[in-house]
Amino acid sequence: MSTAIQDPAVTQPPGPHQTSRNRRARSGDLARLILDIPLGIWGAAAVLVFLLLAAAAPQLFMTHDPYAVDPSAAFTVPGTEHLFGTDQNGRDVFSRVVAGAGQSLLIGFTATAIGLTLGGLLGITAGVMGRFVDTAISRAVEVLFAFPGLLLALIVIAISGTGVITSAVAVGIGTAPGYARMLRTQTLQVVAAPYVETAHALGRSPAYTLWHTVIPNVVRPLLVLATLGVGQAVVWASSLSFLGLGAQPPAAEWGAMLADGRSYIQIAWWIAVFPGLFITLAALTTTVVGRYAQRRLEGQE
Amino acid sequence: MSTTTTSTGPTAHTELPRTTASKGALPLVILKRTLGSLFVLWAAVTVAFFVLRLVPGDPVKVILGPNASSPSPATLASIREEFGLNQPLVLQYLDYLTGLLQGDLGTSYVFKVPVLEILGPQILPTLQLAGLAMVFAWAMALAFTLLTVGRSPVLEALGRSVEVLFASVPQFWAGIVLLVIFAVVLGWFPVAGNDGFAALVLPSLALAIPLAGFIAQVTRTSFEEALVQPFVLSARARGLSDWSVRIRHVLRHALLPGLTLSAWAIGSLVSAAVVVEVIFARQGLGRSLVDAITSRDLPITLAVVLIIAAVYIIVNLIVDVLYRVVDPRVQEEPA
Repeated sequence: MSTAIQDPAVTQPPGPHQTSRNRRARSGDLARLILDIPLGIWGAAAVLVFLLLAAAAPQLFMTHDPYAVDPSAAFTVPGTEHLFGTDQNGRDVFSRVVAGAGQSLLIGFTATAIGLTLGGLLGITAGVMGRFVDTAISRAVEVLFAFPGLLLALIVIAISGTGVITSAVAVGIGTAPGYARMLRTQTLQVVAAPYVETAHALGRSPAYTLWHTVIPNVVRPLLVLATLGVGQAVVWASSLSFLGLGAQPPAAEWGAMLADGRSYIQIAWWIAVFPGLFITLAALTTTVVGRYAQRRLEGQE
Repeated sequence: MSTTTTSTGPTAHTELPRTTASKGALPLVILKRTLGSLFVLWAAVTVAFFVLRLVPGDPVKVILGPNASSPSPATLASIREEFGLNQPLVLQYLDYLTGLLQGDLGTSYVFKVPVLEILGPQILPTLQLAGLAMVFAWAMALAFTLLTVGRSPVLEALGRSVEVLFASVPQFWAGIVLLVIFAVVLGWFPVAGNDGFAALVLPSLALAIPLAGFIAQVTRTSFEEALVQPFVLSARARGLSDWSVRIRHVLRHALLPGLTLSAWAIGSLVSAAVVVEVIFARQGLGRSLVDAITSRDLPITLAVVLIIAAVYIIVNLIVDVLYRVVDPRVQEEPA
């Protein structure tokens, strides 16, 4: 579903590198900047920072050993001792969710990097080369679109087998056609932009223009796309783990934990609900922060 | 929003539908589109066939099952022959294509019966699930749009936030939460299974929630644009009530982008059904796909992939053609 959400990035013709708007924002003092940003964005950013911290240094937050089995404490209701309760093996769900942040986010970042690289290579090549190459790449991407959503990722899993690394690669490949299409449109717009024409008129060589004018302006919005994409990738990767095709139990990975908890949903809702909540939070906060950054970059705020 | 348009035909992908108006008479355009879709379908079949051949391991081992003790070379050879695996790959491919044209999707490695016999009963449950999800998604999206766009800032902000939240919720978590609330705590719906309409409601809702968020976001934008058009002012000036302006005039102009998105979403709905079917322990194509991937049942994997691809391509073709029929700007041109 990422294409729809990220489309605004391409519907706005990209401006040249630095707009006067951006410069003004930068020269404004810090307090003004802080007040400018809506509360909701701060909230989302705070959650995102928490997730990143949990990923980088889980021991900061973990209250228990995420893998310590204690049958006598199985199915403990969420409370002060176990914030999110315990699972069927008496493991602390909160600590497992914190421990899972690293794995889930790492898969998300890796997958996005793979997807953007593949999609970028295809899309920018198509946009810059034009003609025959563009037709060939566009046609190929169109065929890939016939394997919608998770399907392409599932095909990759079918070939490469299950596991953490393969699921990151699978999600990356699954998202690549969407990125390819977006970056092709983006490239076409940049190539047609007045400042590229100016560069040509100034007598710059095509290679120089490509490297110094076209590529930077195509790549600049990538950061935002990446932010939006990570959330999506986390969701897809955890879907694969949920299906038993990605990270395997007893790994403290959100999707795998959710699959585990599904079996006990009638007696202990918290085992499945909390890992799922964090998948949702990761997707939600990256979307909110990413879109805000997008609007700021476009100077529409 | 022309960039959200996902056309499957090979011509003029990005500028649909407005700029293609002058491309000739409607039947000719439809013919071109259909041929384009057939090409994509053929390419999808070809890609899927050859790519899935890369699945590691000997298919004969899958066919024999995990319990087979070392079989004699004669047995192996006869199995190879039976499943056509002794032929060169290109011949296998041509055989498969010929079979497809006759409605034969091959024979399952695991169940040893025609794939269609296994998948036939799975198609309807998945289509029901996706269909009802689409209905729910549109109902929610329209409610958000009609109730919150162009209202007080608080309502607008609320509408926007709910849409972003919905669009970010993964189907499987929506499913878990719905299960906990409506099946476990309230007991209104069954926890799992395929029995009747009641068992269909929660899974469809789980699929519908993120889609509703996406449709509503797109519809909101076009609704906002339509609200400030002169024809709205003139409708109001004629004394029409706010609701009648919204529903009869504005909504009609705001629907098309959402419809295009829906056509695209049908494909991802069917593949997202994979996860939802597993959560709700429902029968369906998605579950068959996951089972087939896990057991390396290549013919079933390939068949499900192709069915989903075909559904996506056909729905997009239909919407593409409908677009031309519905949009008056396209109708004016050919004469």
